[in-house]
Amino acid sequence: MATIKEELRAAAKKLFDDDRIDYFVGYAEDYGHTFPAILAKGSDLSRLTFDRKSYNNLANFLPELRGSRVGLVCKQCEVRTLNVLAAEEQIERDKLVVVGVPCPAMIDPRKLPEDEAGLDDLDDSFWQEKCRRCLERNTPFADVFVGERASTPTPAEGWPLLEEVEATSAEERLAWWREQMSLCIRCYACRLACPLCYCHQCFVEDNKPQWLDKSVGPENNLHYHIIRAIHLAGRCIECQECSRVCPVGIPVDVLNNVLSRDFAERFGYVAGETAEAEPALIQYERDDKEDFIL
Amino acid sequence: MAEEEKQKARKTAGTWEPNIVGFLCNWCSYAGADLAGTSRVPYACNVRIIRVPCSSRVDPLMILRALREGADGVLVSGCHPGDCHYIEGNYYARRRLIALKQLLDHVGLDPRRFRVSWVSASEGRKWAEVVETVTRELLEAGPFRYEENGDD
Repeated sequence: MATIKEELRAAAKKLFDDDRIDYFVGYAEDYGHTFPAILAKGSDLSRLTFDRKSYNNLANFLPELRGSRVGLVCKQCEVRTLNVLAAEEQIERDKLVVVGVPCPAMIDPRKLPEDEAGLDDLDDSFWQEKCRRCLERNTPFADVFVGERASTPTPAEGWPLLEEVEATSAEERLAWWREQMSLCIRCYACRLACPLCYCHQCFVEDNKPQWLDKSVGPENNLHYHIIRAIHLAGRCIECQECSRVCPVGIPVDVLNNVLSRDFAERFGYVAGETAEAEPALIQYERDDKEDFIL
Repeated sequence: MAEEEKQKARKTAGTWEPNIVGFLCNWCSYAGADLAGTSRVPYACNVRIIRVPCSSRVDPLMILRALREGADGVLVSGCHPGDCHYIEGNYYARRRLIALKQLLDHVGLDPRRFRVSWVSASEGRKWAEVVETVTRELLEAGPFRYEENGDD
């Protein structure tokens, strides 16, 4: 992986030297950790990296850098996010330099054994769940591409956790979700980590009308998560940042997956697959399947 | 449904009557409900009607809030697809309501709590039937709460 680090640093340096960008958004490493970094002009680029722990979705930083010229390290998660943001006219493409990287499939640190040696050879049982379903490991519309192109993956079928939950009865599901939601402290980390939750004012802060109680409780929390999933209906690109950042470990992305799967089956719509597709909820077909209407 | 049967169903469920919040579009369903009234069609009086400009005005937030504020069931009703006063409002509403329905079904909410129907301005009789059906189903389902001991 040494070469891709060097190439990435060289690419960032060139973009700054040519005065094409104000900020470079990528991953940095320190003390054995990899984390997202926003580097301004003149910053030390020697910590830039890209390895198998670069799982964050960097497109999350774009809204706060709006107006600046940004170089963004893009793997497939960012690519799909950019497609959705472009369809919603939320990015200025002429101010964005897409730095494509070949994604080696990211590792889930929670699945790692104590001995962390040999990150490169881990099989898919150590992968992030999102990487098992990934359709493409390269960046199709990169302005700059670093590293060697990766081979096309074979995406895994199905939604393991969602299917596990759905195998139970309605009463058991309600009990299970209540249990999960009783853990939720509504820190809104899921909202913050989501690259597609960019509203300036969120319904949870509304006072007039007040849609939700400010207090925490299973019912309140469940309604918050249902509406969060509705607001991401046909937009969620399954990067699973929401579940990853949850401090109490609620798999909140299962609710998003319900809609992703249903929209794919019902409307043939996969969010972020192409830059041209209109979001699913602002288009319609006259004969959309309606199976529950009286 | 015959009057005696209806009474019977209510008796077995005790004296409890469901509270239903109905979101009705101004142009079709509200006029349809009006027609049911002016034609003297008898139907259950459990539905509290909120008139909205179009079924696409109904935000999923409103439906969840109604359930949180004590409704036992929510009924959303609008023009038939193709008949929308605003040409395409109910097509958008349909996609949104499908999304909400999927989620509510997934988390295990009783599907009888949230119903959608298309009722035109000339379908006073259909409106009465829809309300009868929803009321009957909710009588069977019982009062709405997530848990016996209340919540929060």
